[in-house]
Amino acid sequence: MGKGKVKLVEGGLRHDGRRLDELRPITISVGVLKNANGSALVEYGRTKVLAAVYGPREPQMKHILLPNRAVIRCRYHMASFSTYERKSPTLSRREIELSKVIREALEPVIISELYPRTSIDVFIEVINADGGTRTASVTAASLALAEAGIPMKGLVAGVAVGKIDGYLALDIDEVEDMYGEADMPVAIAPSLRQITLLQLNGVLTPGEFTQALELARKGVEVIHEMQKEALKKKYLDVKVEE
Amino acid sequence: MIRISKLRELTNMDAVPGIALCVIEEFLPGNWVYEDQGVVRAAVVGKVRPDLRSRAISIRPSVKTPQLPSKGDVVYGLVSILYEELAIIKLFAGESGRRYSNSFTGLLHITQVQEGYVRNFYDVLAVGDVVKARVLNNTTPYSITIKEQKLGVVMAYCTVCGSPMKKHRSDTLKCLKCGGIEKRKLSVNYAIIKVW
Repeated sequence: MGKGKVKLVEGGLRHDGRRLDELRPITISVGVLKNANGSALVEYGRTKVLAAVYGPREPQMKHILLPNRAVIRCRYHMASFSTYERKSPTLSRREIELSKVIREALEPVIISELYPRTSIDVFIEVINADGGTRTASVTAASLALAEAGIPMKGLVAGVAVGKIDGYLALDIDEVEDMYGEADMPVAIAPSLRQITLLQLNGVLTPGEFTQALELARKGVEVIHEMQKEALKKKYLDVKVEE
Repeated sequence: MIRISKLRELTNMDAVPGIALCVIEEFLPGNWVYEDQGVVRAAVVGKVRPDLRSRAISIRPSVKTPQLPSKGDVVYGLVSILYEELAIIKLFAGESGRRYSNSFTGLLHITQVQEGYVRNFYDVLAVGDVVKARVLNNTTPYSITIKEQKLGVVMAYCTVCGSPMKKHRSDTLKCLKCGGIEKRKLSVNYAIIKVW
């Protein structure tokens, strides 16, 4: 990697003009698909992720069913046009792994015991990738689950913290991830005060790690408010007839 | 004890998953809420409905919550496969006629068709029939029965020409086009079906 070749922080501002603790502009829309039971479209700057939830339903493969709870299946996939160079549409090793970590980020909040012997299917499609796709995916998927009416202990929101030019920066994008020193995606269920996803790529000192986690927590708090706002705007502002 | 001001605040409050509503000493968890460390929280998007009589707090969901058959429900299904002693039926709607977002498998055993002996399924059902049935258990595959009077075939098509069939006698149908007569276990509500 081109270490030190790209100046990522200049005069306290990042390459796109953001402060170190500033999120990219986030847009959230819920209920964008007709056929899915729940869906959400989330944008973190130029990163755009679509999530669709189906279920609880009866899967074709009955052997995966569990007698005491619903199984949660998750498929994270990047569209072949989502990256600068065409990405093969087959699931790569990375996508299979991300499907797993996203599923594990959602599992603690879904009250799956209510629907034994069924499956809840989460499909995540990355439409445009510019860093932070897994965290945007978690944010979108939890909204799609809420829209599908699946009982949840709380919403989950994700954000990445990175280390660029020696500074900790919130919500890093593709360029910062590529030329930075560390990348730490975090997903938190704020109402449960639980961290459901935590990965770290690169090197952080223990002190930096604590700081980074605090930065992520603040970022997640902001995104969580936006999630709640999006759901309320769509489903609670209109008068419900009795 | 709950304060009046808190009750006012809770009634009709906007709820999204995870928000804290009250503690269990104030209200017990009702529908679409859960309890975590003594705090009652919302589990779905909706409006909060505290009920002083049952001392329980519930949520009236604003989103379409999952629809699944449960024990005792009357459901509509489509006959997909017939075996000698077993029929496999896709359950697609509840009694109200509201379609489930996903269909579920129902199993109908020959002993659950009617009182008395039934020689084989071909005398009482045909593939493609729409049946009204009652669910006997709570998980997939659902066991179902069509023993009651109002249960049984509610819509059938001629096995020869595929045209709709009219009720002929209590247990036979007549094809509107070719005039063929077929036997079925009919519901008294034959041809009265509304699914949306």
